[in-house]
Amino acid sequence: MMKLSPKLSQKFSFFILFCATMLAIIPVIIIVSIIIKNGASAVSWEFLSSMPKDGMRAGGILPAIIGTLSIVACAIVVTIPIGVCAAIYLNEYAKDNLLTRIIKLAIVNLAGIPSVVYGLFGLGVFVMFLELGVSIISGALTLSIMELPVIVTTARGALNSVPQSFREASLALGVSRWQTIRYVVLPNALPGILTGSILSIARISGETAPILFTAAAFYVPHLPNTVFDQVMALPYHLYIISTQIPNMPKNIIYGTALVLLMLVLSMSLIAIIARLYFRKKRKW
Amino acid sequence: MSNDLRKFKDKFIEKIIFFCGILSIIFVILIFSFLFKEGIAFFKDFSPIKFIVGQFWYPASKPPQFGILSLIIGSIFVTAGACIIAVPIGIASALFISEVAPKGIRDILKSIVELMAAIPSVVIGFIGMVSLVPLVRSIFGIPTGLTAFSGSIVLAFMAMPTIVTISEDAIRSVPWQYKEGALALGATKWQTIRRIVLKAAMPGIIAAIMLGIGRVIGETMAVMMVTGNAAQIPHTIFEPVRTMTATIAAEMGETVKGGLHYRALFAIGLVLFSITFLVNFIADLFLGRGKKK
Amino acid sequence: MVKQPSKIQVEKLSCYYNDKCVLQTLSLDICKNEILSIIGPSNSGKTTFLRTLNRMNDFDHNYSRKGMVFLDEENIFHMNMEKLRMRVGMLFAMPIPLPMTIYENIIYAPKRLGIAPKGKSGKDAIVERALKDASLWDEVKDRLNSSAMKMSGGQQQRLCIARILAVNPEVILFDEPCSGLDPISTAKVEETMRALKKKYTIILVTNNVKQASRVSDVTAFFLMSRLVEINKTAELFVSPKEKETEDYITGRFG
Repeated sequence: MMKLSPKLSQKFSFFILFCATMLAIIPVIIIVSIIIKNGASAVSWEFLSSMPKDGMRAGGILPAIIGTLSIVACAIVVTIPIGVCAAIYLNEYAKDNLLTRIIKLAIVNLAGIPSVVYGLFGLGVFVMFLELGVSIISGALTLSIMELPVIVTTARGALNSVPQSFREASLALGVSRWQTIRYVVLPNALPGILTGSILSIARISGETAPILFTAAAFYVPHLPNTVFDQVMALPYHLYIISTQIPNMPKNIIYGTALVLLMLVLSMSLIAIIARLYFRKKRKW
Repeated sequence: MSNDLRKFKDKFIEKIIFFCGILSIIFVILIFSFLFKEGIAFFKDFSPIKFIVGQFWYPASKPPQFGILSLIIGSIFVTAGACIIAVPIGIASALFISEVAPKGIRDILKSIVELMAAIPSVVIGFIGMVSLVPLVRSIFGIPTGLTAFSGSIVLAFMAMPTIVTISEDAIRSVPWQYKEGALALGATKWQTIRRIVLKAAMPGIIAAIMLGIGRVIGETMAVMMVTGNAAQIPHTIFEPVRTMTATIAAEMGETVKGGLHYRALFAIGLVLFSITFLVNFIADLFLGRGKKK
Repeated sequence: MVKQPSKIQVEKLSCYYNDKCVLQTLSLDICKNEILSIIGPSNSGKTTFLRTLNRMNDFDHNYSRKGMVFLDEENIFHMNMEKLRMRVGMLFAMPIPLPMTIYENIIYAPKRLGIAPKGKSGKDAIVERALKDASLWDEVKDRLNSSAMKMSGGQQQRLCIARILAVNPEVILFDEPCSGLDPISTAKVEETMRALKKKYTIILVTNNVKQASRVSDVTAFFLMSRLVEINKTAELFVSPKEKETEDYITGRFG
């Protein structure tokens, strides 16, 4: 066999790496374009703002949109304060001891638990044990625990990127630890915390398994009034109309998928762009 | 505000922060104990050995059969298939992004990978169902495209962002002195990558693979939509399978709350929890080792 | 010269990092309104000593200490940490302006410590006085609301001095304050230091022997975690008692 020269073998290898990258990335483009191509015709103001009709084979997806937004809103109200506080504890207060190691292990473990197991947990604790029923609040609490490790990790990264010297300068003036964190560290970590939070909001908007037994309903003929109501949710709605309902018009399924995809992707895109912007603008 | 009040407020807030810090431990314990409680209740009525090695999952028959061997094998089939596809592509992409691509392109590629992670699993499952499944059926000439193979492809796609991002981190944190040393000796960039960079980044890459596996085992919706959900032990990857996650998701709605079937699903949850705990623990060990170097 | 009363008394202070001794049974007195400079090669324990005086190392889990330090006859290790730091300010080697405006940088600590007056005019007065005492007022009075990050290195360092002055300390610690500055900025900072001596007690850690001889009243020489010699600056530089001191100040090592 002929041995390739190092230069040629490098060229060849880089080409292979390039092809692999394309193989990883092209499916994204294919998925997005299939959905846009088939779904764009179904999406209209009417589709977004009216109730489903004819066993969901016609009409709009308003209750599913409202349902998803309310679950996600409740979830972030719970998870962001807790997550940011936990990140502050780990980054600013925690000593290098056994407790800290256990907390870190717990966070890694929480991040790895399958979403459907969170669903089981939410069903057992919130729906049954606390008797909150299948409701927005049960779903939101389930999602907030699931998202906690992600928020903690990104917030910690943001806090960690604030230079240590800022803390020293403030502490040396006699300002207390908490005041230093509140008025020097947090303001400078805020952009990072914010973009991380938007990314995780996007992610939980698309989750189905955790709300399957805790919040989502097959069909609800009215919009939710309180957080104790069952709701329809976009991802679950998409699952139902694509697998459970026979003779479903294709363009409604694609339209629903498009709305869900755009909701999630636009939030993520905003977060990614904002992060690049803040990194460039950073003052230190 | 008086100084004492200020100090009191500071102390109070610090207590809250500490509480939030340990909350994740509380959650893990809560989750485990809830699964454990229901699982133990199940094992009182059904032998754990029959549960693990039993071949038949007939929750509705009389007497019901709760053997999850076929579900475990189903999970292993799709997971293994997904790894075989995703690991080489993922590592190669991570190498390309961190070592070969120019900086402007690198940022774009990383953003796309991040967007990929955000696509909801039902959307991926739906697209898999309408485009991948028919394709698999016609290419391989099999009666149905809802197979372990389709599941593997879909899951490979879903594990990709995890594998790429974490491997990329590991590759980028290889000290530049290592690379300079090799390059100064006249090695080409590719030789340096293959012999030095890959070796130094290996703990991180292994962690990335483990975390990818964790993600794949736990994935539910997409896998439920493309694998056919037949609770039988498959002989080839071109047969329908059913995973543990899909079983929980598909059947929980029909169970009597508190009944044997309900508890059997919690017992499956307990098995899943234990597997992912182990996988993530190993990944964390490798990540820790990579950092210490 | 009338002997000033002692401001700080250090009694048998030893400091450790991971059980390695970095400062060995140090005892010395620092008088009110004088500038003490501490010279010595790196790793001689100078900076550790300085950071011990306002307990900046207390959060470092590898750090431990023995012995006592008194500020006006009160043991600083029993004092409230925040109160101590208000009385003993510290300036770091690199200028660290906080990412805010010049005005906010100075009013930051008084506000957070609850000692700032309520009205705007009172705050303005604090800012003006602090900047004047740090001889920075004339250079920045027209752009108090611009970012502190845009100033030159020397200005930033004097801003940091002004920030310390705004909380009315009694002692100011300078940790190699000119190591990152050019000669002209250095001269300005030194001039500021001399002016501050009238109101404050100053301890200066420096690698620059000439700087010590220029600005200080008393000089201490540290070597290998130990105090070798302490004397009036004029005497120490003219007739050092110890051989090591002489070798160091004449530039034979360090």
